[in-house]
Amino acid sequence: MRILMFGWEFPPHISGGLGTACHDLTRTLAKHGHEISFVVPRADVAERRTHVRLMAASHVEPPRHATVEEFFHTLNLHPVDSLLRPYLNEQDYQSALDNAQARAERTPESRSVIAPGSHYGRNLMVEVARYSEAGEELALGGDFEIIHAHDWMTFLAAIRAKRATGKPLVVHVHSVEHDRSGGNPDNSIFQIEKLGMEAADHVIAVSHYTRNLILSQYGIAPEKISVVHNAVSRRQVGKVYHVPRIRPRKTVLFLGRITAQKGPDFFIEAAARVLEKTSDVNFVMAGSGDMLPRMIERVGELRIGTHFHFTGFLQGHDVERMYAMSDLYVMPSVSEPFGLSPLEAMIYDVPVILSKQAGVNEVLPHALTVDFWNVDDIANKILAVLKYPALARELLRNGRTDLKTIRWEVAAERIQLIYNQLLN
Amino acid sequence: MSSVCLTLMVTAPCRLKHYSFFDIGESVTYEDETLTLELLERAATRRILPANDILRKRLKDYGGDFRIAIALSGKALDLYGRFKPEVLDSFKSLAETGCVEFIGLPHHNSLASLFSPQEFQEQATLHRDRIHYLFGTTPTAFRNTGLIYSQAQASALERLDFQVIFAGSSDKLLGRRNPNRVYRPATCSTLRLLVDNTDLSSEVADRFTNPDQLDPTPPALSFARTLHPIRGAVTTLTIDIDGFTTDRQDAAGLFKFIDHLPEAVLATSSHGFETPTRAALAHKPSVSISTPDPVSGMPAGHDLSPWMGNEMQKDALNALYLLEPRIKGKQDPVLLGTWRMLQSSDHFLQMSTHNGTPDISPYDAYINFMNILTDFTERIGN
Repeated sequence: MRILMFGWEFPPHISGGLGTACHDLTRTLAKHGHEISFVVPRADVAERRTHVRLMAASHVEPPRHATVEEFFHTLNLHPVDSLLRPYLNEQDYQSALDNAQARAERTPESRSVIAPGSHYGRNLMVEVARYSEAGEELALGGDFEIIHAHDWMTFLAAIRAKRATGKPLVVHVHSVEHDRSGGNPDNSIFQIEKLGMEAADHVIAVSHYTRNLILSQYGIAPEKISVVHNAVSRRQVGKVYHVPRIRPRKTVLFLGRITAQKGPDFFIEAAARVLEKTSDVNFVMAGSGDMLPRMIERVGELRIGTHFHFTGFLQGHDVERMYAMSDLYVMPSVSEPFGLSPLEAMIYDVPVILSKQAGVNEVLPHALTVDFWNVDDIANKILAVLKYPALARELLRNGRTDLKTIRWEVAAERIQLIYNQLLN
Repeated sequence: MSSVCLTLMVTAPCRLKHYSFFDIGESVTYEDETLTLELLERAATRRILPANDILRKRLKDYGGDFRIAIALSGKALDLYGRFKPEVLDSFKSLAETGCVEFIGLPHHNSLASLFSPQEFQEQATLHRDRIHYLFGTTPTAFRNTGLIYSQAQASALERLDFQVIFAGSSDKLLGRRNPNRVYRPATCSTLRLLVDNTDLSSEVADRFTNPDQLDPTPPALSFARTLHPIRGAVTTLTIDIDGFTTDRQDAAGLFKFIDHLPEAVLATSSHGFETPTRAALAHKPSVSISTPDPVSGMPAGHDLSPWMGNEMQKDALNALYLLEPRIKGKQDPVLLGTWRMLQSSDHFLQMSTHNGTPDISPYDAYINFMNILTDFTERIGN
C-alpha cells in the first residue's frame, strides 16, 4: 500500500515520544512492504542538509537503528521547511521564530536568499496554515492510496491533501489539547483537532484513555475511533548499557518534558518527602521545558539540591545511559495519552511508578500506579521500591512478561486492518 | 450406606489499614477494624444468624439423621465474642443438638504449618481450647488453612491427639484414587485422612449462587441426584457460609438449600449424614497416602502458589516468621497477638499476582504489609 504520512522527527533528532512512535511505526509498516511518503517539518537548514546526506550516504551510522539505510530505501522523505516541531505552543513558537530570524541574520548566504525569517508564519497558527499548503502540493504530486496524519499540527495539511485527492484520511491522535495544556486548552488548537477528527474517515487513539477524551470532548462517533496502543522497539533491547548499579546512592529518575502535563512538581515534592526518611538516594530530572526554572528554584527552596540533579535535555546514547544508571523511573503525569518512556525504562530493567492517568497502564497490568497529586503515596512507593528489593524483582519479572506482548508488529497489523477497511 | 460430611465454614476477614512508609514509627494501628467489623456485621445478620435458625430447626427435626460439621475460625470466635455474642450463642444452640462437630483450625488462619511447627502446634491447641471453652466439646478433626496438607503436619496433629485430618482432593495427593474414601497418612498410625470433594463443593456453591433459570429443580434436590451415584464410604464437602465475596441475593438460595437438604439426601437411600470424626472412624482406612510436598485445596495447581507464588509473598512470609524467636522471647501478649494477626493468610493471598483480590493490587498489598512489618519489627526491639 502507498501511504502519504504527515509525521514528526527523524533520528538523530528525536525529542520525545511522538517522534519515536512515528519512526518505529513507519519502520514496521515499511517492513511489511508498504510504501510511505513521509512529510516532516524541518527548520534548520544545516540540520536538514545533514539529514539529507544521511539518507544518501550509507557510511554515516545513525545512532539508534542499525538497518536504517534499508529502511530509508522504502521511505520517501519530504522535508518541508517549517518551524513546526512536536509539542509547540504559541510561546515556544515565538522563541523559535526569534531564533530563526537571528540565525538568518548571522548567516550571510541565507540573508542573500531570503529576508530574515520572512517565509515563516508570524505566529503558530499562521505557520500551521502555511504548512498545510505543502500538504496539498505534495498530495497532488504524489501517488498514494491513503493519508495518515499524526497530531493536530499536521491535520490541516492532511485535510487539504484529502480534499485535493479524495483519498481516505486516518488521523492518529497521540495527545489532545486537554493533555498538553493542563486544563487550559487553546481554543484554536482544540478547533483544529476537532476539524481533523471530523474530516477523518477514521481516528486512531493511542489508548482507551485518549479515546474517552475524544468521545467526551470532541463528540466524534465512537464507531469511527479505534485504539491502537503504542509499543516499544525490540531493537533497543540489544543495545542495553551495562552500568553497574552498585553505588552508594540509589537513583530515581524523571525523564520527560518539564511541563505541567508531565507533573515534574509532584516528582520534586515526593523527592523531598523521601529525603525526610533516607539520604542514600539521588533524584534526577532529565529534560527541558517551560517549568524548568521554577523546578530548579523549588529544589533550592526545599534544600534538597545535594540529592537532586537536573541534566537538561538528553538524547540518543545519553538517554540510554540515564535509564541504565537508574534504579527507579517515576512518571507522575497529570494527563498522559500513552507514555512511551516507562516501556523504555523497563527495557533497561528499571522498575516504574506510573500515574493512574496514563494510557500506558492499559498495556502494563503489573505496573505500580499512583494518583499524580498524591505526593505522599508517590513517596511511599518510591521508598518501598528502594527498601524492599523483592518488590523491584517482582515488578521486573512481571513487566518483562508484559513487554513481550507490546510490539509494534501488533500496532502495525491493527493499522493495516483499518487501512483495508477504508479502502474496501 | 455412604456418609456425607458437610462442613460449614465461618471465617472472618482480616483487613489491614492503609499504612504508608511515613506511618512507620508513628502509628501502631495496623488493622482496619472498622472495615472488618462492618463485614462481620453484614455476614452475621444477612447469612449466619438466619442460616443457623434453619439448621437448628432441621437438626432437631431429624434427630441424629442430620449431622453437620462447623469450622469457626479463631478470628470469628474472637470478634463475634467481643462484638456480637449472639452469633456465638446461636452456634451454642446448634452444639446443644448433639449433632454438630466443631472442626479444629489454626487459630489465626495462618500458614504456620509451612514455617514453624512450634507455632502451628500452638495455634492448633489455642483454637481447640477456645472451642472447648465456648462449646464444651473438643475438636478431633483438623482442617488447615486453604486445606494445606503435608506429612509433617499430619504427624504433628497425631501427636496432638487429633483423629482426623482434611486435605483437598488433588491428583498430586491421590493420583487416580477415589476422593470419597478414608485414607491413612503414610507417617501416621492412628490419624485418618478425609479428602474434601472440591469439585462437588464448588458445584454446590454454584447451584445456589447462580441458579439455572431453565432448571426448576431445587438445588438441594439436584445435589442429592448428583450425590446418589457417587461411590465411596465418605463424601466430604464444604460450604463457605459467610461468603464475604458474594452478595446478598445468594443468601436466599443458601437458606433454601439448607432447608431442603436433609429431606433430599435422606430420600436417596444411598447416603446419610455423618460428622467427619464419626464417619472416618467407622471405616477402615483403605490405603496409606504419602506426598513429598505440601498440597493445598486451591483449584488450579493444588500447590502453595496462591500464598507463596511470588517473590513478594515469600519475602513477606520469611520476614514475618524470622521474628518468632524474638517475639516469643518477649512474652508480651500484645506483641504476640499482633504477630499472629499478621500471619493471616488473607494478607499473602492479596499479594498474589494470579489469585489476588480485586480491592487491592498485589504490589500495594505487599508495600502496605512491609511498611507495617517494618514498624512492628522496630517496636519489638532486640
